Formats: sequence, structure tokens, C-alpha cells
Amino acid sequence: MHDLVNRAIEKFLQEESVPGVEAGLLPPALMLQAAADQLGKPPDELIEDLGAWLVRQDEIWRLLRFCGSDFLDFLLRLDELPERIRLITDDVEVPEIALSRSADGLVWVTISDGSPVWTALLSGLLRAMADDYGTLCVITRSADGIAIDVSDAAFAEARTFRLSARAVPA
Amino acid sequence: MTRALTLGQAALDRLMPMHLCLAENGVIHFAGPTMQKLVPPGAQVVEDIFVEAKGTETGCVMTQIRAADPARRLSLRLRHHRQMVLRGHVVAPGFGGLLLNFGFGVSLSDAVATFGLTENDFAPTELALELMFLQEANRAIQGELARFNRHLMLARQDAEREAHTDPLTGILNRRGLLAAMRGALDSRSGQGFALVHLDLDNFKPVNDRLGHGAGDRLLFDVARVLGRAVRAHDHVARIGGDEFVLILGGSWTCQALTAIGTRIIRGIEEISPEGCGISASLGIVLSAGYGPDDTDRMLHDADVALYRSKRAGKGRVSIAPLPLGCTPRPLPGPQ
Repeated sequence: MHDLVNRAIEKFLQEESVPGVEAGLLPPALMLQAAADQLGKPPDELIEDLGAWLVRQDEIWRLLRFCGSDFLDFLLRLDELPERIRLITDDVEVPEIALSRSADGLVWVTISDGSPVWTALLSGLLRAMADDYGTLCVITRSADGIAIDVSDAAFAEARTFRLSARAVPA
Repeated sequence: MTRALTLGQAALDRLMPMHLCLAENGVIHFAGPTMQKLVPPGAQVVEDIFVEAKGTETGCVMTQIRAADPARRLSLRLRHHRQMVLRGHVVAPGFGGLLLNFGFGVSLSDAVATFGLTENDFAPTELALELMFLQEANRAIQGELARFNRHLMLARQDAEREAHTDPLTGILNRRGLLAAMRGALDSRSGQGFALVHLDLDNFKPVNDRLGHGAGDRLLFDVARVLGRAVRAHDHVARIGGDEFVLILGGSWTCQALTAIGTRIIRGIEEISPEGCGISASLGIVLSAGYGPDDTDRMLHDADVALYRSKRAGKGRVSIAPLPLGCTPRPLPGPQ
């Protein structure tokens, strides 16, 4: 599974056309750090891009869409994500994800160990998923976690998702 | 005390979207919303929907349903989609008639594709979506792993080829030669072969006078001469400085071997740099009497024959005598 994670990051960096990062030779964290240095971008921004890039990979996109019928459903079941990943593999360590609602109606996503990498990755992923579901929202990342303000759940048409990858449209 | 419960149709639909309610005689009363997608248009009785899952069709599904043990699973096959077997159970709710409820079991993804089912077609208690999630995750991971394996296999093949190849000339190296000899000596390969050990004459002065670049170029050209002298299934190797070995498959006469050896010597003399007098000495041994573990002995015997050529004045071919106890073969020409 680590090979798959490495390969995903390699492919992402290739598509972001970061040249000269010796893919496969460095552990993922160093690969991303080196790429961020080269692009002159803060590493957490690059990791956010990686989260959004993951959503654009068709197979991963389908798996994510299985996790919620609309964006709010997806968001409010985000705490299932670590358990879902453990369904597929148990050699990737995923921190727990907690959800809460603040008095002003924002949904807060917090990562159990406060990991800035996971926080950045998830906020990129959430941003891309909100887009995918056609939901308008404001996603803010801070040291305390990710705050999501859903302003219009039906802002645009959601990308069509069918349960069966081989279903023919009726 | 027994507890009784009356459920409206809306509640029943939500709890069990795959239910089917039948009269005692098999006439369909009503069906849950997902089951309705499976019921063919115009269906009146349960036999219009199902056939038996196993054995010969008697056309009497109702008999099977009535006889079903309430504690056990009931399996029925869709009449119009025979690959799909639904599993469920049946209860007699007490108002006359029978209430059945079904699930898709392992036919799930097939059913989702065939009937275009969505998340709303499943009760929240069902694991349908989780199962499909897992199935797709598995398939994606397997696809990636297969790609990895292919990649590794190709890399291994490349490494193996490289390990058996002499980088200067592109022909086999010593390791490659030994592998080819073991293969040829394996009794299962049946055919015999001749092993030719070749050493260039007067090679050292080329390196000394014209430089190592010229020496390397000459070795490369010699490899090409040898490659042209043999057939596609023969082997050519360079096993050290200016030492080459050929494996020539088939049965050979001494005359034929001397002829091909002489041709090789002439070919090499033709590419000699001006004034260097390059030629070659050959020692040949036939494979009769050697087994798969005798590669070293065979190479040694060829080497002995080669030194006979060197001592006799270079530029010639010597063929080792057949080992004791091995009758000479009849002498057909090379194939």
C-alpha cells in the first residue's frame, strides 16, 4: 500500500510538472517538501493541491462518491473515512477525524493528532468534493482544524455518479 | 405476551424495499419499491418473476415458497435474468398470504448495473453500498498491483538480459555462455552440439600500438564476424579479453567443423588492422559424453584443443578427440 501512496504522489508531481524530484527515491514527505521548495510554494498548499488532485482520479473519485449522497451527507460522514480506509487496507495509518458544529453554524473537521499534513490534504479534498457535488461553501483551514460554511447546497449541478461503474444510462 | 404490529405500506416500503406480498395461491398483492423494479411488466403471479434457483424447473415456485422453512434461507432465480439469484425468507404474517423479503447477495453489483439501482433503493441497514465500495477499491488496488508486477517482471527480464550480456560487443558474457551450455547439455534438449573456443592471435600489439579504442573496435568487429558465421539458434559469447566461445547446435563432422573454423579465421584475418596480422586459433570439442554438470570440464577440454592450435603455429583449428567409451557418430554434414 505504501507503494501505491508513493506512486500517487509521484504521479501528482509529474502532472504538476515538478521536474527533477527523484520520484521513488525519497519518502513521500521529503518528495513533497522538495517539490514545494522547487515551486516556491508552502508545503501545505501543495498538499492541499494533492487532496484536490486525488478527487480528479476517476477510481478514487468513485470511491469518495460512495461515501455520501450529497456534499452535506459526505461531510457529516467524514468521520467514517478512517474506518473505510481500514476496510481496504490496514497498513496505512489514518488519524481519527472528528466533526462538530460551532454556535455560528459552521461545521468543524478536526484531526485527532492535529497533523497539519492530514488537515491540508482533507481541506483540498473537501474543496474538490464540494465542487463535484455542486455545493457552494467556504472552507477555511487553521491550526484548530477545518471550518466549513455551506452556503448553497444546490449551487450547481452535481457530477453524475452511478453506483455501478458499468451501468448504462436509462 | 405476544406483541403485534401493524405497519402501513409506506413504513413497510421504507423498512423493506425488497418485500413481496403474495396470496396463498401465488398471486402478487403488492411489492416494495425496489422489488417493483425487478418485477416484469404485467406480472400476475410469483412464477412470472421467479424460477427455482437450483435443479430442474417445475414451474411451481409457490410450492417451494410454501414449503420453505421460516428459519432458513430461500433462494430464487429471476425468470428474465437467470444469472441473478435473490436470497430471502418468508413469513406468514397472520392475515392470510405470505410476506417475503429479499436481498441480492452476491448478485448485488450485477443487479445494480442491470436495474440501474441507486442508493435510495436500499434500506440504510443494508451493506450494499459498502460492498460495492469494497469491490471497486479492491479492483482498483488489484489493477495497480498488476501494473507493479508487470513493471517488476520487465525490470527483472532487463536485468537478466544485462547480466548475461557482454556490454562491449552485445553478445553473451561468461555467465550467459554457462547458462546456454547448461541448456544445451540438458539431455532433454536431445541434440548434440560443438563447442568452439576461439582466441585471437596477435591481439595484444593492437592495444599497445593503436590504443585500447582500436582494440575494443576490433573485438566488436570479431563479434560481428562470428555472429554472421553462425545460425540464429547458435550462441556466441565473449568470456574474457580476446577469448570467444561458440555453441553450434546439431551433429557435426570434423570436416564440416574444420571448414566453418577456417571460414571464421579468414573472416577475422580480413578485418585485421593494417600490419597487425590478426588471426585466430580455435579449439573445438563435441558435446557427446558430457552432462549438464560438465560445463567446466568441457570448457577445459576445448581450451586444451585451443592450445594445441596455438602451439602448432596459430591460425588453425584443432578438434579434441572424443572421450573414451564414446563411439564416434556417423558423420552427416551440418544441418
